[in-house]
Amino acid sequence: MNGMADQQGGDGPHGHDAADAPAGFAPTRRRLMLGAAAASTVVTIRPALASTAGSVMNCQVPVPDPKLGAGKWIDGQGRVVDAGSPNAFRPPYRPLKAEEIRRAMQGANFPGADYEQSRAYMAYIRKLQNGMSGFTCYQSLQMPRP
Amino acid sequence: MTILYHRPSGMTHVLLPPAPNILAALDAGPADAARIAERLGFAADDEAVDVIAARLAELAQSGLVAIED
Repeated sequence: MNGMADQQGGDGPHGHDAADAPAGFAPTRRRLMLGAAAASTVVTIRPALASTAGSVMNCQVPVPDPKLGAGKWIDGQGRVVDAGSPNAFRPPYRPLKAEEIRRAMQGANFPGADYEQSRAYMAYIRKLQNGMSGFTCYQSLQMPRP
Repeated sequence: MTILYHRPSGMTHVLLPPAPNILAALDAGPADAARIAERLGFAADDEAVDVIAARLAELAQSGLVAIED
């Protein structure tokens, strides 16, 4: 199926605009829906977890979670893979510290890791789910601090 | 405005257009920014593709979409 079929079939959220709006109006309305490239459209409300600066900056995230198996590597998408897998990286030799993660969230590399490796580790951390080691630490890092 | 609760992370997200529209467009299957633009009725619109690419990056940063190779 091509894009036009999607549009004419009304499958898309705004697929009926063109039919409803007068000529020359729909594009503007669509453009308004899109907004500007720089305008953020996702606001995340963090759960109420540990909130003091001390607890936030002292926590750690093991990469990967030891429960997922010893000796595993992290691929570029943050997936836990077997050691030696292509496009995968050795895990850090120790758990990553909150302050290091905070800096990496702003684009810095982890100590001893290059850019690709650091992005892989961050991809893993972003995929953490409730119950996994380090989840609460990462969630805490994302909360606005006083 | 759309409120989304992401069960895996336990996070709640407030989404403004076009973020919900992009997620809805992805219901039809994985797609890049250009394909999503087509699905939203912005075929061959480079500016729209740029905006959607920026929104996709934001959604990925929030953990709401996964970027594949």
